[in-house]
Amino acid sequence: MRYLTDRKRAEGLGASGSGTHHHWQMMVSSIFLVPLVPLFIFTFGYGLGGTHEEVLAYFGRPFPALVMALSLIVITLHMMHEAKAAIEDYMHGVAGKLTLIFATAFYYTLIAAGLFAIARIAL
Amino acid sequence: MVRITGIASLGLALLVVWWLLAAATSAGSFAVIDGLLRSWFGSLVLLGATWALWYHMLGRLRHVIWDFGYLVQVEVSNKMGLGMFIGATVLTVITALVV
Repeated sequence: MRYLTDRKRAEGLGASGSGTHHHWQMMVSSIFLVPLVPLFIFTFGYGLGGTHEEVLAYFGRPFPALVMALSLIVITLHMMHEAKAAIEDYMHGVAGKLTLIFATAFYYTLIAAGLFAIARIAL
Repeated sequence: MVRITGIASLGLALLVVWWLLAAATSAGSFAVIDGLLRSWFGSLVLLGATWALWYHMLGRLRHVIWDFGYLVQVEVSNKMGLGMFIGATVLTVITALVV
């Protein structure tokens, strides 16, 4: 007879070691994105199609700039968490760790590049 | 399908960030990516990406509803799946008309 409860035996055996937290993160960003995605689609849609000057003027306004920055951050982090889960599920060992680090760096770089562009246009 | 459309959204994110960076940099580099996105091929890609994003949003919403413990019956779930297809298509048409 083993003196461990079923829960104790199962704890820490998941691929990432933090599945509950990941699940909650995805719930939060998913719900937040339900109003944010339509805002992003229509904001970007209205921005696309103008001349260079019109585009600069459009994203210089507070509301479009804010929607773009907000959706860039939340969408990219949401994608990063999902990509991490996929890597944790299918890759292991050193290769898995290096891929995780590379993916994290890639998504943060994407956010930084986008924010830089929005800041430069808006300010 | 929700996963595939999620991956497709990464392509859209890259294009949008590229477009913004180019707009912030110079008129010349903006003209390149803007011309690409507004060509017939670019419009097709953006239309597909719009559908993918709408579909993914509805699919994720279904997961959230399931996670709260509602509508988990197979029959209802299948109906919601069909609704995601129809909903995403309707929303894409609306987007194309409005934008």
